[in-house]
Order: sequence, then C-alpha cells, then structure tokens
Amino acid sequence: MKFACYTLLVFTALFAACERVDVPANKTSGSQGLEGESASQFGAPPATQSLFQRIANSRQVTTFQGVRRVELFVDEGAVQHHSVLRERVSADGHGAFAIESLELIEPPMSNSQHALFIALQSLRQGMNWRYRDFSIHDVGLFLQNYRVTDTGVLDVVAGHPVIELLVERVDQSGSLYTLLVDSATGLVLKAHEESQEHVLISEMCYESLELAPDLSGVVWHQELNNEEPLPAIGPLTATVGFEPLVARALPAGFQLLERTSVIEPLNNSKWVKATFTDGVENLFFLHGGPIVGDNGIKSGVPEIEADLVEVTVAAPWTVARGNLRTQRVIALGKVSEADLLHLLRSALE
Amino acid sequence: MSSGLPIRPDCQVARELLVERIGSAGNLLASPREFHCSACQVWFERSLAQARALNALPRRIAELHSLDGLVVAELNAGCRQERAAAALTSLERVDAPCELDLLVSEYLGRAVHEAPRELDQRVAKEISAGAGLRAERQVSALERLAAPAALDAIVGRALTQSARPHGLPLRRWIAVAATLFVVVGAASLVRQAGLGKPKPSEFRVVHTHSVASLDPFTRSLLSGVTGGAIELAAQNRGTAR
Repeated sequence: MKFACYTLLVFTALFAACERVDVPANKTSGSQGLEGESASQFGAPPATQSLFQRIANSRQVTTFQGVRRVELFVDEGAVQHHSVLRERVSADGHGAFAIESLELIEPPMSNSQHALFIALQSLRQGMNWRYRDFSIHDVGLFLQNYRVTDTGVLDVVAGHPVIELLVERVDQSGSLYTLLVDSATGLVLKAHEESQEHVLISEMCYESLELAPDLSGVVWHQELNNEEPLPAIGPLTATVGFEPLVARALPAGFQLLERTSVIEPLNNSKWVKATFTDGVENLFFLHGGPIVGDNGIKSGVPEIEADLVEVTVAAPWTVARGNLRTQRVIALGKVSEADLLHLLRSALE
Repeated sequence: MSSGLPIRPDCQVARELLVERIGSAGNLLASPREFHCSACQVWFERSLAQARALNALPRRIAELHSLDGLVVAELNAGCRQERAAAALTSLERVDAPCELDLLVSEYLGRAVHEAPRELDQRVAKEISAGAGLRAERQVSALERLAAPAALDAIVGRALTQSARPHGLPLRRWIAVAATLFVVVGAASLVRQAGLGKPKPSEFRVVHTHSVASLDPFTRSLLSGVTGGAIELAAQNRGTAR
C-alpha cells in the first residue's frame, strides 16, 4: 500500500506544480540568484549594481535640462494611434522637475486643440515623470525580475557618450527595452520600448542635453491632484473613511510600491490607490470605497451594473473597472486581462 | 505648429483690454479709439464677429445642462485645474526661512531607524493570515508524546497476526496503480475545469473596444500613464503605424 500512497503523492505534486501560483504582495525582493544572473550578463557585478542604482537615482540627483522627442503608440482594438511630441525636461538635482511640452508634431490638430493638449500635458507632467518615462522604481525588484545585457555598443546621444543596454523580463513577458544610458550620470538618454512581438510601443530620445544649466527660469512641477501618501499596511478607515480592499494575487514579480489617496474631482470622493511595480512597470489598483448615492463607476454601453467588470484594452495598457459588491474598483496596468481579473477577484475574497 | 496665441506680449495685453469692450451678448460696449497695431484691429473685428455669431446661435438650455457634466469631466473639472496651474505657475518661489532649514536639518540629522521593509511585510502576513497561522504554530510546537509500551506490544501483535506470508500479486499492484491514475487524472480535470471548489468572487465581464466609454476619472488616469496618448487617440483614429 505504501507504493500506492507514494504514487498518489507524486501525481498530486505534479498537478500542483502545474497550477498557477499566486505571488503574494509581501514577497521579499532582491533574489540573490537573479541578481547574480543579471550581474554576470552585464559583466562586472559591482559596476552593474552601482550603474542600476545610478539609473534609478539619476533623475533625482542630476541637475540637467534637455529637449527630447517622444513617440507613443496605442492600439485601441484594431485601430492604431501614433503621436509624436517634443518636450523640455528640467531637473534641479534635488527632486524638483518640470516637463514642458513644446509642440505636438503628430497627429495634426487645430490650434485650439493643440493649445488644450499642451495645457493638459502640463497637468500630467507628474504622471509622465513617474509612470510614462522609463525608470527603475525598485533596484531589488529590477534585479529579481529583469535581465540586462550590455551590447557593447558605444554611441553618442545629444553630445554625450552612452552605452547600450537591453532590458527584458527574465520570464520573457512584458516590454523589451533598448536603453542608451549616460554611464557617468545614469540618465537614460534614449529608450526604445517594444512588445514581445517586436511591435514598437514608445521611443524617447534627447535632442539636446545640458548638465548643470541655468535653471532660474524653470517653472517646477507642483502637485495638483491632492495625492496623499498612506501607510503601506494597516487599517485606514480613520484616514480615508473606509477600509481599502487589498489585492492579494498579483502578476508574477510585482510587489506593493506605495499606497496613496487621491480625490476624484467630479464628485470629490476619495480613492485609495495601491501602486505595484516589478521594478520598471507599474500596476495600479484603486478602491473607491462603497458606492454612495450616484458616485458608482459610469460607463458608456453597456452601463456598468452591479458585479460587472468592464475591460478596456488600449494596448499595451489594460483597464478593468466595475462596481463589485457595491464597491468601486479600478485596475490598470501593462498586463493581461486575465492578470487584472485575477487581481480583482483576490481583492474581493 | 502655431499655438494661435500672439507672439508679442504687448499684443496680448492690448487684446485682453479689447476683449473687455465686447459685451456678453456679443455687442460692442465701447469702440476703441485706436488699436495697438493693424493685426490687433483685425483680431478685434474677427473676435467681435465671432462673438455675434456665437450669440446668434439658438440656445438649447436643457441639453446644455445635461452636457455640463461631460464638459466638466472632459476638461478635468472645468478650467479650475488650468486656472490653478496658471495661478501656481505665476507664483514666485518663496525661500524657506533659515529657522525652517535648521529644523529640517536637525530632524534629518536624527537617527531615524525605520523597521526594514521585510519586517513590515512579515507583520502584514502575520496579520492577514488570521488565526490559522498561529494555530498551526501552536500545534507544531506541542511536545510529541511516546506511546506506552503496552500499546506498542498490542499493535505489534496485531500486525504480526495480520501479516500475510506473500505480498500482493503483481497484477493487483497494476490494478491499484491504474485505478489511482484514473482517479487522479479525473480529479485534475475537475480541478482545471474549476469544478469542485467554491467560485471565488464571481462577476460578469464585458469588453469595450474604445477608451471613449471610460469614465472621466479612469480616463484621466490612463491619459496620465500613457503620456496623453489616450487623449490624442480620440483625434487620431485610423492613422496607420
């Protein structure tokens, strides 16, 4: 009978191994093995570690100003959208920054539309800085989830010598990045992002860059959205008025980066925004608390009803939102629909 | 591409004064005695004509009321944010007083020992696990008691009496293995089909193929993380990559 028991155990183990494994939000970052893998591919481990740290910190500690061209692609169903703009980026090396949109090259639009877009871009500069532009949000997670290859190519961007790095997730999901990095400062002077199918997603390249320039005329970015930091763990009812749902099943490699509260301007209701990262990409889960009055999530067609999630894909981004169990929830990220729905389910369990 | 705004600041000032001469009904409140330049004069005449044309449009108040919410949503709660941004950007930077600098330096100089992140995570796990984890820890910490010798002797005698001189025949083992294989395989199929376990927080899912259906809040979030590409998408439909 022992043989039968062992057989049963082996089969059970095999099937369990094939099942999806949820990654808890509190998994420890900085796997030594993967760090070694990344480091060995890059060459010298100490230099690699300091380079990644420099890239992560570069925008905060470097005083610079430059003009860059940004190209963005979004797929909305079968329709592909392409936009190109130029912007001036400034940073004082102490955390202050500004992204001033200079012109929208594509798509063509009327003067009033152009002026409105430029004005709205100035309101979005904080999100562009934090979430649109390539940056390493957590070096430990980056080393755990990403593989970096130094191609050996030496180039010059905006008059500055750069090295070329290929950055991709070790599990071969997500975007592929080709970065041209000023190794002296760690600034990413050119970033080319494409999908696993090698479809271009975005490209940014500095046309000019000046280190330690005169920044006396710069109008620095000011927070406009009343976003307030919250404790990463612990009850929040006293702070935000409700106990936020917790997403327990995250896509592989993601961990909680921060929790904040934001105000929805239309009805002044409060949301708790949990931002997760795999080191580079960001994933957001927002909980707006229970529906009060008429502040439930609205939609086009069909109207969002109770316990119904509406999924919208603007590739590479996916958005899932709904009024679930009388709670308002939104999840968005550069991940699959299945990952977002799994995250939403885990928050309701 | 031109922004449509006057290039010269003095023109801008002159035109702002000219606008005040146009009434809310599109009428001319007072004719300007002179214009700053010929371009300003052309601009003023065009603006006056536009104001009259706009005022002559039939008003559909009821529909306008229903559009208010959409307009506000589209413009991020009206122009408040733009006005706030303009007001903020026009402010001069005020240096912090020396006393504040000293206080901040003093505060930063203190040795702030925060708990390591892993500790936070472990505490969160402990809290979220509930009583199960503590019960498991308590049970595993119990001292294992040895069975009394008399019980060992009884079990030994019983095993000796029930022991068979020969093991199961080979074909019996094959039958057992085959049965196990079928049972485990069926269990795995049931498991993969999602049967046999409680449905976790089910909800219906619908798909939309346009960001136009997004509510203003979600749309503004998506616009932020995509660098405004979503806003442009609405005016850029069909451009081939």
